[in-house]
Amino acid sequence: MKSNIEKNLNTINSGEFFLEQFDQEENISFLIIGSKRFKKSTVNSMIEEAKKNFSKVLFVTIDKIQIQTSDLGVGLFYKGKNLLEYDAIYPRFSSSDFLLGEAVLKAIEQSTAYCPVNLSAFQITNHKFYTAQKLSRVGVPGVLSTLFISPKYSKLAVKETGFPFVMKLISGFAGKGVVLVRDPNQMNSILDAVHLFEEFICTQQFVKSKKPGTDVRCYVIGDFILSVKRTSVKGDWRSNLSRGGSAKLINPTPALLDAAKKSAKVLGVDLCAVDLMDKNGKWVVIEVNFMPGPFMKYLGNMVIQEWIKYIKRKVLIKKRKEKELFEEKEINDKSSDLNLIENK
Amino acid sequence: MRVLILAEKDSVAKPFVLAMKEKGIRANYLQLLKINLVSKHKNIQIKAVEENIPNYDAVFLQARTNLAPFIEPLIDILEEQKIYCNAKKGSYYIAANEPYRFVNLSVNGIKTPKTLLTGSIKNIERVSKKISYPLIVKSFIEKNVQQSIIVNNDIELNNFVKSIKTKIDGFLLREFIGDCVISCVVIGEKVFAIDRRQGTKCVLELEKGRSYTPTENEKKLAILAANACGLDIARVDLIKGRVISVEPEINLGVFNKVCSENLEKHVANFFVDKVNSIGVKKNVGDDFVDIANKLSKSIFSRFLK
Repeated sequence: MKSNIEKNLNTINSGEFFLEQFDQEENISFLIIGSKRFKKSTVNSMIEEAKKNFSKVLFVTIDKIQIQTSDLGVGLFYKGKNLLEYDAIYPRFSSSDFLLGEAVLKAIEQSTAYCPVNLSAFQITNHKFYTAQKLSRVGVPGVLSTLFISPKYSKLAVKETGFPFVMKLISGFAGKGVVLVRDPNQMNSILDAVHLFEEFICTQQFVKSKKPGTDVRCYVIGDFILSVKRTSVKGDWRSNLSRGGSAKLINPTPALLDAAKKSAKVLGVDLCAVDLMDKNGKWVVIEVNFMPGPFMKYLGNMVIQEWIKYIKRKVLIKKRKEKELFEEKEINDKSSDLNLIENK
Repeated sequence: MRVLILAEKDSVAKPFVLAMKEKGIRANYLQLLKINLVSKHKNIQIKAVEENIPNYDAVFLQARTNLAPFIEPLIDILEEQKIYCNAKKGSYYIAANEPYRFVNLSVNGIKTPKTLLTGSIKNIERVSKKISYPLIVKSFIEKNVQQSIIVNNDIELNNFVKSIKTKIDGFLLREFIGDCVISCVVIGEKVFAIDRRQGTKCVLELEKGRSYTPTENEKKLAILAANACGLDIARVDLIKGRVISVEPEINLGVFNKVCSENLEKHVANFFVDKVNSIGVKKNVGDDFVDIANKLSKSIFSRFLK
């Protein structure tokens, strides 16, 4: 596996990824806004890595932030600090953070900070059907999906998917809230329970993979894709790593690269993870993760390092452009002053 | 011109269907529950038992905000199929989440009462120092309001904090403006309002309010607030020139009664203007029905029989 990692890193370093050289002394700040359900080991590694790249780093969970709206606009504060003054902000929210997450992301959109994700992507990626809808519209291969409110009208959906199908709670995560429905009897009892909790029902055609319990996660980091093959624990048809299993780096095929890049592009994000499955020899997107875990158990700090380096690079490019614009404006102002003097 | 009224209940949709039919619109009601959204490769469809939705020029949508996870993909498909809808993409997400709604209004330059939001109970007392009493405090579990009270001092706030035993997802603290609410219905560029003032007192029930002609500034504010939330038709509540609420669902019954209006007719007029400005879809089937209708009223009616 080590050789694979090196191979991938070489790809990054030889590509356009780090062609530009930046002044290391640049004073840049970085804020990570974590989910209420943040994973300590991931956050610790992110902070450690960020400290190597940014002059000022702050991690704060979403529930500790204070959002303020007034006639002056919107502000995000933590212990008196204005959080929107940071050069880069990476919000890592899950579906449990919706109440304040949408408000925080809207506020960030109005700031000048670089943010690798956005509000719309947060809403879409936390909705299994909406993700499938958005991706399939731009031609990203996906799985036939349906969404409905009432179990009474589920027949239309079943007509599309057939049996067996996978039923998912639209806001489910980490493989939770996913059931494989094999026949009408099973479907009726599950639908009754789901309706009781006023959940919306998303069904997906069951993808019988050539290698059951195996899928590929593509980490999208700007133009760079890092692909990881995941295998589930024996007997579980879901390959989600948070439910156990293993992972290893692979070289992405052009089809994988294309699907992952298109997915990130349609959502307008620089950082995300796209999960794909092999459906009869063709890669199809299962879901897109707004807050992907970095698989530290298998990949160490690799993913985190790439995230942080990418964010730093984007901030430096942005700062350089701002500096150039400022200098250009100063030159223009000076020359218009000279013209005025000459005219006088 | 064809307009589909999508609502949860027949009783909500019926007055709109009637008003639209009076305007010569081919209006039908479809229960929201009957819809299935299907996403196949590059082929995204709204499927319903009795209706072919792409044939319609426009959809008038009336649904509760907690249906947002279903409504949002639905509006996205309607927009993609160039079917006009009174609610834009993102509007139900805004309406369903009060903290997000206040941030969205503020970002769009709409005046709202000063509002503070936090996810931690430990922060409430510190946060409250930034607003003066009295203030409205709301607690939320997910996006639903659990409790909403007015607190007048530190002691009352402290008691509120102590009373919380369950895990809360967030708190909203809002400046309390001591005046009566003006409830408005925005229909395009028109605003109809009820003042909740009764003598020197404010009334809670909308039906006990009185018909009110909003000032130009109030009209402008209500329309801007509705549009900032992605809505052409909305209920907007104001207090002293500030927006406190924007909802996509409008209960016109009370407004009709208090304002002595038929607001469904205004909604129908709005749809006629809107669809005409976008362009009515050519529907061959409709042409045949039109010809048949005209013929049935002429001397050729016996040939039809």
